Amino acid sequence: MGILIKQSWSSGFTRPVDEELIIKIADGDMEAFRDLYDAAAGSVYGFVLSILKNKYDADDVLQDTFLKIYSNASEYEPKGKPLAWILTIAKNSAYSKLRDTGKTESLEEQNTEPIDFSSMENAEQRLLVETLFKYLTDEEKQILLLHSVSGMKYREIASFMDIPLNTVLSKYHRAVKKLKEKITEE
Amino acid sequence: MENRELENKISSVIYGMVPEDSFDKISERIAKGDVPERSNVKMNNGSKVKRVLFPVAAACIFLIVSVVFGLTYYGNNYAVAAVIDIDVNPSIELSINKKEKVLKVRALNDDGKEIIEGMKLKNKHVDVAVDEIVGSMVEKGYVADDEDNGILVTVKNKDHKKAEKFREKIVKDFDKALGDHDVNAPVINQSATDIKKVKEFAEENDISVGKAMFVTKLVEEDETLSAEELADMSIKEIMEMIKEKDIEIEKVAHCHRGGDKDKDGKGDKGNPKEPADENVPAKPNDSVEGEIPAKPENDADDENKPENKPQGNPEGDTDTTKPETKPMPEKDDTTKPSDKEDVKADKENKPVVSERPDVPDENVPQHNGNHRDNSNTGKRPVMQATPSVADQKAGQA
Repeated sequence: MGILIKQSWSSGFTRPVDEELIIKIADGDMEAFRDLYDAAAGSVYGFVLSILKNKYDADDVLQDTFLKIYSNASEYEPKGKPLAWILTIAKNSAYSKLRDTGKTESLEEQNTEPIDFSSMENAEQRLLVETLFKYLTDEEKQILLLHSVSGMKYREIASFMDIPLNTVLSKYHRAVKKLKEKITEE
Repeated sequence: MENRELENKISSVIYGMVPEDSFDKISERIAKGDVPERSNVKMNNGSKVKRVLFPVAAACIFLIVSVVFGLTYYGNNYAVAAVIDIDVNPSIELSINKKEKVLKVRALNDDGKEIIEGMKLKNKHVDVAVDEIVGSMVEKGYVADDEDNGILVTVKNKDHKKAEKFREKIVKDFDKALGDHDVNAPVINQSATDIKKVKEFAEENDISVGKAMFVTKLVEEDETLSAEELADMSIKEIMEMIKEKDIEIEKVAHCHRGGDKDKDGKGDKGNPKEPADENVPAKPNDSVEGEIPAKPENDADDENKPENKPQGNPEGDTDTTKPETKPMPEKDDTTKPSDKEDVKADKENKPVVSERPDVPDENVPQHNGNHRDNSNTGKRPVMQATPSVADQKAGQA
């Protein structure tokens, strides 16, 4: 239950996170903890990367997030939204990280260099992720990642990000359109 | 590229980017006890205000929609849109809704009870109800093919526009119903918006508000009249009296002739007005609104006198295609009888002698000289008996 197999390029689907795993983690079940990690790591990483725009900071926050999940698993109230709970932890951790490093502005505002994806061997994949992080706004990125990687529904995204549903819908479609155009151009 | 395909690729790439040793580092930290303290993870479920507001707002909207829907449904189906008083001799009150369906039927006198007895008019469309009521009145002899017969129809609604709208519609329904029953009788019609003034009079005299209104208006036109006496009279008797007194009925109410083709119930406007000439009887179904044929100079009291019978029809006419005519042989009758094909003579050979109100119609039930229309004598009412005729009969007897 709840085991997410890292999808290949061809398969590419996300399994929902099973909240039963969190309940088991509260009981000290490490196997469940591993399963949860496998299911949610990609969602957490991609999301915090969109906030932090730094792979190393994103890795740190990824670890912090799951440590907090481990220690707070007993506090989790089953409401059928385990991923929202996990990503809330991730978001809080990411913004806490930003504050700690003094980086409160967005990437655009900081004028820092974009994320280096050159280590990615697959050219198509590299193009895709570079385009995503370069040409989309922060909100567009987050919405697109939450929908495509985390499998969140638009309404869940609106609630999670505390923005109107219409905004989510329009920004999502704009993001997809941009990506497709840019990828086609490249 | 399809969106789904794009998303799958994004997901795949991102998952591939997760550092492979991250979980190991996590495990190490757990083993070392380097675990963050427990803290309350506050989910972003929206602000408290929003959390409370949305369900409350949804409930309010639902309530409003339900109320509006309920009120609309009630308003369309159960709310009284108009009340119609029908007075001949029997007096009946119909309450109808916006959709012109009958909500309630009430007999205002014993004759009215006789008319509606056994009828199930509730929820029927008003034109069906009118047809049944007119049919019952004809069948029981309260309404006959008589110019002076007169059905008084009053539409009550506080809104004048709505009252007028219903009035015009109802007149058409009566027109049709009368036509269906081969009866040519005038439909005196009026709308009433403020009935407070006449309500007390109506209650005191045990008559409908519509009749009370009609009667009080007549008294305003002719102060010699007595409202209480008029209240006791049938509509036919009142019509005859109006003729006697030469009151212009259009000053009091609309008068629609049965079979007239006008659309608004205000009288046929298709035919030109005839010059007012008391020696020239008005044609039946005259185009002049509300005009009651002038009393002929020749006050013949015997309908069987040849000169009083319709032209070309000394014995009465069963030919329904011949127009009704008003006999006035001594005079140079320049008027032509109405050539309206829908004017029908009485099937029972009764000539329609509209200008002879005093002459009892032998084919129509007679009154026993009692002007009260609402008496529960069990006898058929009445078409007539003005004092002069009664006196004549007494004299003849």
